[in-house]
Amino acid sequence: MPVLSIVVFAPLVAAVVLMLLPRGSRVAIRLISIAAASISLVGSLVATSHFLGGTPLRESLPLVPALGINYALAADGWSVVLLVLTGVILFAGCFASWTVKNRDREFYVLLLVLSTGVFGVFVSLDLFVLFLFYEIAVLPMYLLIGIWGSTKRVPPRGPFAAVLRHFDVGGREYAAMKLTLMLLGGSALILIAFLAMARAGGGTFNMESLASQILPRHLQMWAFPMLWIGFGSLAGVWPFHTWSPDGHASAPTAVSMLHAGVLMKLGAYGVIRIGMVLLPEGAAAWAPWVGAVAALNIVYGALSAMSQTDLKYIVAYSSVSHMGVVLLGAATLSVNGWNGAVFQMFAHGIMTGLFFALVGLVYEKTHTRDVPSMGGFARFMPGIAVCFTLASLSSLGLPGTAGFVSEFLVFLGAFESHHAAWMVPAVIGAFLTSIYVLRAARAIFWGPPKTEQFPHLDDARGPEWVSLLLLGGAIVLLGVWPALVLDPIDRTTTQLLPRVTSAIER
Amino acid sequence: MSFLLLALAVPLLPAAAAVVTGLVRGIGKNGALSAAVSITAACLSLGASLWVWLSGALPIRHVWSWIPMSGRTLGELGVRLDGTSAPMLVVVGIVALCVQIYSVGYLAGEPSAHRGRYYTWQSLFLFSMQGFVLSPNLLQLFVFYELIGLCSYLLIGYYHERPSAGRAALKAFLVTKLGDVGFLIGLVIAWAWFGTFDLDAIAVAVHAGPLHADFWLLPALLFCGVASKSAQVPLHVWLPDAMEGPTPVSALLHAATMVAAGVFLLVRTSFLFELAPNVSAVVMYVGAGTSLFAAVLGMTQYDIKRVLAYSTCSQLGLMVAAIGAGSVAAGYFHLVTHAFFKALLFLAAGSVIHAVHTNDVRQMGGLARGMRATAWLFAIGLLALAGVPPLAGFWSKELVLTALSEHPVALALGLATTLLTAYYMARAFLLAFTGAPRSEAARHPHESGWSMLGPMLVLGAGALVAGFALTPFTKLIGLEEHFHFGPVGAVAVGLGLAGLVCAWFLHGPRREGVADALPAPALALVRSGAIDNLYVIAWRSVLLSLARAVGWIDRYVIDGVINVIGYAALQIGSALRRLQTGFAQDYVVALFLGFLALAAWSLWGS
Repeated sequence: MPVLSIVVFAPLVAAVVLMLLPRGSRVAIRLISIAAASISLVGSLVATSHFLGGTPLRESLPLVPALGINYALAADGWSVVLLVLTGVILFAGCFASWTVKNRDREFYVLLLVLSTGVFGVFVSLDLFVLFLFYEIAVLPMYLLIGIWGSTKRVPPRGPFAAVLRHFDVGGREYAAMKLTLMLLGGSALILIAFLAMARAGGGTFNMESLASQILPRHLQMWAFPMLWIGFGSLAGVWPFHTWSPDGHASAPTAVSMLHAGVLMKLGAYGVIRIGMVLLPEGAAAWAPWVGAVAALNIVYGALSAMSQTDLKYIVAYSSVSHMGVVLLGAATLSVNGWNGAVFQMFAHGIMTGLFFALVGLVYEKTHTRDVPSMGGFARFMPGIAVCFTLASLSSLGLPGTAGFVSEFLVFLGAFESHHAAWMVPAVIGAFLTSIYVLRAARAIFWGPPKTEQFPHLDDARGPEWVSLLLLGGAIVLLGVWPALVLDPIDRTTTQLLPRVTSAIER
Repeated sequence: MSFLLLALAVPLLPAAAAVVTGLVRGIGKNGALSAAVSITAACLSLGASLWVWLSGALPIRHVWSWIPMSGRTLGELGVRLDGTSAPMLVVVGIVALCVQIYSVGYLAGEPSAHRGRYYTWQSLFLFSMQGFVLSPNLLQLFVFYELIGLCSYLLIGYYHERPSAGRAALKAFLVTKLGDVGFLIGLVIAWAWFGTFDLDAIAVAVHAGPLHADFWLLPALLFCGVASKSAQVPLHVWLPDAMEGPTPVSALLHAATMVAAGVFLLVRTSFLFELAPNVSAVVMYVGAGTSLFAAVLGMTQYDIKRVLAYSTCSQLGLMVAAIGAGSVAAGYFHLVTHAFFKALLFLAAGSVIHAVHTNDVRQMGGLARGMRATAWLFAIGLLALAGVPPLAGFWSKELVLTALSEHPVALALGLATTLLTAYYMARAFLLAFTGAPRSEAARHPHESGWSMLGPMLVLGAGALVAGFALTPFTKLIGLEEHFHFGPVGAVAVGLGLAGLVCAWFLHGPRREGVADALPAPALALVRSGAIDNLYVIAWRSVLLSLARAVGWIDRYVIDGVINVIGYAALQIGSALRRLQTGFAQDYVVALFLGFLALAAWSLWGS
């Protein structure tokens, strides 16, 4: 059975089915979407068990043989972990969008199409097919934010408020346009690099055959930074991160969850999996820059988050900071660093997914995202308060949560690498994180309840709990039993990394 | 194997209680039921720890793989039960059990669901502390160290709707986290140098091979972690504010868990400090300085819990100083005896607060008449703390001061602390329990019920006999040091008594005096919280301003460039649009000009 294709295309098939449904069949739309998400999730777990059993799944089908393009899929340790992550977030996201009212059918269709793209990128073995999936993952975002994005926002303040209003900065159309253009700019760079690599590699797009040869050094030197910036703009690499705060803040809940939780990982996956593994000499030469920028990302993102008063912006900037941890781990070119980077992709995915689900719930109940105007919500929404605290703890890297394992591994990797000093900004970033997330948690949930401004507040209910429990449970489970995810990651890291380290020695 | 299971039960039973009370709604919403579950687990856990300690099955050691790496193991979790950890388990178990039983009475007026949450955190706390004590490696020490910090955060913030509780909880978490940053870096360095986190393996490595050139970094970084949890100056600022939690929580934090964790970490890693004499000296002077500094602050307080808080800080300073001076046994022994009498003092203070509904000793007075048992128990705790023989504090303080006797400055600081400690503790006692009542509530105090008095009696017995009972059998708690009463001890006892007498004359029942012993300007200086203000300045003017600056740069500079590019693209597009006039004549003219240009280029260009 072509399990990987089922994982990838189940959401797409469901999207087609949804389009055939009559408008207004509210429950059916959600159930079909959830069914598709479940099929993909189960398929991902099957792929994981195959990988752990020593027989990783692969599929291949010639697509355009004349150009060396094949529909080739494979699932190794990194892929299966990220497949499971995508499945979990999509599943949770379908529940978190339960209350979408405006054009809910189209919303779910786009959400499912987008996730087909994400699944596809994580299993593609062919650069051309990967690029197709990448574009499928990025484009629906424009509509999802532009149509279903939030219009209410914290109005701009300060001396330049008029300028910001003129450009409609922070508005959903602005955010959607900015996100799409910046990411498409990135994918243009990716496409150029891909075509050059395929040509230099003897006309094949297959990643395995490209990996088996050493591409010319000058090509590696210029192609790697293009991939770094191209994929990196999706991973929130400074200074190409500015689509992220506006985009995540304007996007509807499930879209923020998927985008920050999974799509940003596509970027990091691309940088490591394609940039570093296929272009090892380029990676070795550029690693100091990648690491330095990543360290900047960590501290810069944390400081920016600290200065925000809009809850969604706080979470969005924290993603910028945490994606810096992923890229720092990647730049260390060490086992611990890479394990930590991929684990951080998973840990950050579920953590930020939980964050955005919670922020969506709070916003739905209070109709504000302005943190200073909140307060004392713990009395009315104790469940949400506990989950928010849990996500905060994972975010600041508390042992016992998933966030600790990844950050710790990256710190170890950074200290072992040639740039031990990278550890310092990384550790400072973790401390700054604890300041801004716990301050936000205190401002929202602690203190005397503001019953006058918010007379009717209640806790999460019914389907909303599904996503909270799933993601919250995953945070604790992985914090206590990291080997569950780290074991497959580690197996693939030990396969891929020697290519890069041997290139450094050359 | 069976003893290994027993040792595992010590932390895992409270963990199970935390899970049950936290996740099963029927139990978690019911305060009485949660208390029953939690106390049963604490009781069984204490029984298990006593059993393994006294069975003579020590040492027990076992580790499990936790974090894999390259097919091997990077991090392990496990159990290391030896002469050092076994007594600590028992002490922690006793204090935690007493506190949990006491809380039944103390929190009886709280909503049922709140008490359920309280017991969840209490069980989690006990789990974290026992897991910490059992750690065989630095990584596990760090993991549970942080969890202890988390539990403190949750319990200090128990009254979460009070703004001051929220502030205090956050402050405690962040200040201790700041120190833990050092611990974390130390952990990474240990891995890089030794390739293991295991304490035994590290001990073998440092004793066998040449030390790394910057070896001193490792103990120095670990001490950052110690200093924040064990409230050494200047990281002590969270401790007085932590009094915002319910009083039994303060008892737990100050006696056997949060602050004890720091000292225990120092005990466990003392072999690293011994190899770095400079760091040890710093540790000793920081400890001795903290002890006197906190004692002076303790003299100026009117809040009975804050008096106790500063005394904890001061006693921790003594423990740290003793370990810095090279006598691990003395510091550890003081940690054990201190756990009993400090828990007792806090619970007695809680009993008073429960009766008169205020923390302020100026609103008390004459309480001994209505609360005879509490007064006696408080007095026992105070005499033990003042080092009056033969109570617990006497034996351990004697060892601590003897350890300092080769370092005149540190010894002087320690002796001065002894004098001041006796003074300010007696002052608090005299103001609260003797003289005439100074408020309406103090006129009719009622003695607490048995659920509160019972645990206090147990701890009181501990404060009476712990030192006496444990000293001749120092091997029982893994110490080799022998007690001998010397001149330092005599001076210390004399100073302690002098402090008590001073307090009697300044604040005795006849004096009716609440006046301060320090002159007003000095008082203003110490009360101003100069160190607190430094943190506030660092936060407001440095960090927050930096954050705002970065936020501004992001919004206007970096995003500005993006916006300008977008705007420029639009403008260029609309400028170029003019070229498409739509008139055929224009296009023909352009075609002709283009033809001319090409013709010119082909004729002369090449």
